[in-house]
Amino acid sequence: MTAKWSAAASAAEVSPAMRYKEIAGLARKATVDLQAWERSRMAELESATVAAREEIEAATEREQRAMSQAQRWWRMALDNVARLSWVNVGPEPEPIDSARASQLSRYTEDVRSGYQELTQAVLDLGWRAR
Amino acid sequence: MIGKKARQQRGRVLAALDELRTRIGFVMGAARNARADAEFELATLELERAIVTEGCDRARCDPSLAPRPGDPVSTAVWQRLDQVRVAFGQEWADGPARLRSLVAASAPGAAGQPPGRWLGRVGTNKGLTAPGLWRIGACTVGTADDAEEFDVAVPLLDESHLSITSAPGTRHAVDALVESLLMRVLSTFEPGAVRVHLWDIGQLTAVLPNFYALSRTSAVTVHDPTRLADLLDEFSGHIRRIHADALQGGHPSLRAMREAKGTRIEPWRIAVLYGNGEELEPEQRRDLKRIASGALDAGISLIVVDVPTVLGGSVETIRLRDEHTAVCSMTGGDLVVDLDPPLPGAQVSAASGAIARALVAKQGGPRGFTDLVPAELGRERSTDELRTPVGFDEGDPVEVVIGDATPHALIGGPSGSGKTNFLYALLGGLAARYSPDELALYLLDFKEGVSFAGLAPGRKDESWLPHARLIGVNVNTDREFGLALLRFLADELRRRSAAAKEHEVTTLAELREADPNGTWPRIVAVIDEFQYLFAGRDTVTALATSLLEDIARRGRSQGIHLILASQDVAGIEAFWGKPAVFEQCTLRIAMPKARRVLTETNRAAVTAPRWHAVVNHDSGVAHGNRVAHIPDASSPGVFARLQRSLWERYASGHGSPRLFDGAVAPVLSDSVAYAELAKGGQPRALVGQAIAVSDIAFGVELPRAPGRNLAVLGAAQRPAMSILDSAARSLARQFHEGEVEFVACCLVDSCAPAVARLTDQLQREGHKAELLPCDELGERLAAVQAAMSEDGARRIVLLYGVDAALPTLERKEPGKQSGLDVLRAVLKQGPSHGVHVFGWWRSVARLKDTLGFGGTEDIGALAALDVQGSDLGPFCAGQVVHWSPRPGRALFFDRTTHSSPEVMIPYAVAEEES
Repeated sequence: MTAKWSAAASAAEVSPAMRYKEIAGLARKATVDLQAWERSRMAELESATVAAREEIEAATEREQRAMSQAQRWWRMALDNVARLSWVNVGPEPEPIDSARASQLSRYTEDVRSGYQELTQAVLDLGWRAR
Repeated sequence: MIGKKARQQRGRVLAALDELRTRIGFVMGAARNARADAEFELATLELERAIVTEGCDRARCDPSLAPRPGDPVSTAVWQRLDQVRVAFGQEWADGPARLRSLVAASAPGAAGQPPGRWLGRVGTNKGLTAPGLWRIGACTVGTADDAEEFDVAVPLLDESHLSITSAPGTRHAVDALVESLLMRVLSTFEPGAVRVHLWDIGQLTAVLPNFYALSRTSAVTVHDPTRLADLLDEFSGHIRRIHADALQGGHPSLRAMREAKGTRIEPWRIAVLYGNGEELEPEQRRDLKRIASGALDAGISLIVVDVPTVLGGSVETIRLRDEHTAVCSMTGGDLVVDLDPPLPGAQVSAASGAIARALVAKQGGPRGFTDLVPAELGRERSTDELRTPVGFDEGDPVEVVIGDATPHALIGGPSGSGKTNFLYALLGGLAARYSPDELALYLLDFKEGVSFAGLAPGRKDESWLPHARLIGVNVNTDREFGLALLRFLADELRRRSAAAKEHEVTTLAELREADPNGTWPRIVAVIDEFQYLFAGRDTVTALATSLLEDIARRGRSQGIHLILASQDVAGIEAFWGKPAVFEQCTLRIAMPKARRVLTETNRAAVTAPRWHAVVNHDSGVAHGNRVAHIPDASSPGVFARLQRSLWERYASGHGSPRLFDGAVAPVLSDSVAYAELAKGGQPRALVGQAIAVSDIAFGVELPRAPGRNLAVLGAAQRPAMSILDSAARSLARQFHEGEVEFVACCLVDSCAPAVARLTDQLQREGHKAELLPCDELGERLAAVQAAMSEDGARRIVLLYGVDAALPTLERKEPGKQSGLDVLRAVLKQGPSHGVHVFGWWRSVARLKDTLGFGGTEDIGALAALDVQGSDLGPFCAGQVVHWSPRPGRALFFDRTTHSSPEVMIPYAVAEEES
């Protein structure tokens, strides 16, 4: 008998209580979904942090390499102009804030071409100019 | 001084050097920025990881993780997380607003509004529908900046049970929550629409004390903490009854039935059960689970507090965290509900008082018999069933239904328990609703009272109950009258079956449809103290038993219903081992202290108070119980007023009922049989009234044939005189003057005046009537003998106390016949010549002496008075005769018409008539 009644009840239209739960369920769903995302994000962040640390190491190494390389370029440039008494070499190169980290390779290429331009300019000096 | 060209060459060198410096600066900057970016990224990742580890919501409140304006890492991380949160909460964004409007729509008035707007006012909702939600508190969501509040409400009536779990020290908060919820419910509906049952395992009476005023009415009942089983039994019975009623009507639930009928049939019931956190006893647990699973459809909602039993059916939970907050299944475990503050105690008490007063006023105090009577008389049709309220349960009518499911009723209760009053209430209710064309009543009371006498026309009141066709009172010794009623009902059953067959239908409802012009009322036969009918081990009991079984089995389909009332049905020996009759009586009415009417385990009648009855349509099983207060229907004047109204309305079209009063001897001149006697036909001497449903008389047919004599046997003078008197007077009525001659001889001195009055009377009517002196009897008999073969005239010889004449008659003179021989000859040959002897012998032996060896065939009819049945065998065709002397009754046997002797009532003697 009870089963029959329950079946009949299920056929009835949605009650206010069911609608209430349905709406309140959205809050719960949002919370649950966020919590689920937080859990999955935590795992992601674990590996991302490790990668970030490695990236810092790599970036630091790249920075050091770039610094020493830059100093070498600059010393070579100074060598090129060392016998030119009229050259005032000016300040040492300073890191430029606006430089884009992602453009390091291009910047490096630019230095190479810039050094060649300097070398060529020195070679092009006539005896009067020296 | 250098030239222009050299200056240009130098300029290019300087420019190239500057450019190189710049480019080296870019390289250095890019490398440093890359490292800084990586460090920033790591910082954000670590902060984000800390936040999600903590949970965004909690981290927002953690000072070490909370957003820090100006901190780029914090800003970046929280911005990103807020975007994620918004994305996930997109669907819920308008949730609070939707919930607010949903509660406003589904919990109107007292169900959802603040108490200031309704507390203290009596509800007006008629109870056709119940609010879908009932507010218990509010919930706040969102951050401090964009916090939003919405109502928290729970379903209750028809929808769900509630399970409340307290936290340590929060009992008064639970009480406040329950009290608030109940007050919302009680204030929503008109008084009487909801009944609350309170049970607390730990408290006797002081459960929700602010409801004290209501606990004096039916609205709130506080149950004994030790009697949970009784409460659960009551609910089980209620659920079964509601299910049966609803399913019978094709409705899946009480709510569906209410909606279909457009009226509130039953009040909602809310049971609040306070436990102590421990499991109930296994049996109670099982019962509670069973009840919970079927309760909602029967309009019962449970609120269990600290009862760990898992209930069946729909259940919402409220778990208190502390005094003010809870977690509710409606909102889920993540949201904390701020419970509404407790209602002010004084205001709750005042509101309870107001509702209680309104309820008492609405119920109008104790209900009376007039409340059983509808506004308009005789509006119902009995095609399908008979239905009437017989009493009231807390102001609500309790109905009795006599129909297909409950064709017959058994009423039980000890003497003085109100059976007769109940019968009057029932008969009044039925008679007021159904016209005499719809309902015919046959009422029989075996008690020595005159319960139903008032329903027939009387000296004080000329009115009668137009529905009554037969009223039998004082029939305690006339079991034959009960048998006659059963015979009549059996005949009516056959008549209806035949009519149904003719119309090719099977039931009364179909017959009425097929034969709209026929009169086919439902017949209700009420037999009060019916156990008397089965009091002996004789043919009456045997016949009555089989007839009752037959009617009980087949009466249902033909609209013939039995209402059997008794003090104790179990004592009826005739039904031992034959439960069929009682099984057919599915309607059981148990008066207070009644035994065995209900099932053995159903003890409702034991606790039923005075003036109440347990009305049970389920063969006495406990779940069918309805305890009703039966209003006074039997006090003088109460029923009479209704009867008068019905009489004025229907009497012209319906004759008065036949009244059979066992204590009153019938009067010959008033009898139908006497009135119908006509001159001319076959003469028939009436000797007494038959015990039958219709007013018929026993008579002795007097054709000119052997044996047509009548012997009255026994020493009882008055009935003997009555029988002979009736016989003579009725015969005289059938002959013209001079056609018949009466010859009377009285040999009992004390009877002489009466015999003289008779002969005078006969003479006044123009007949030849002669009262012989005793000493002339022999001579006169000889003259009669001599004349009978010559003139063939009709002569009736009336002999009073023949036995007294025997010594004289036996005297024999030489060469002559003795008087006794003459008498024997008259008895033997007289009837063939129209001479009949009506004699009174005061003993059977003397009659045998009179007859001698001539055999008993000359006595064709006899009426036995105070003689033993065993002596009568030879005069009753050799049958074993069950008869013992009964005052005012005779055993009549006419061997030409009777298969066995029958009890008759001699008419009142002439002097009594006058």
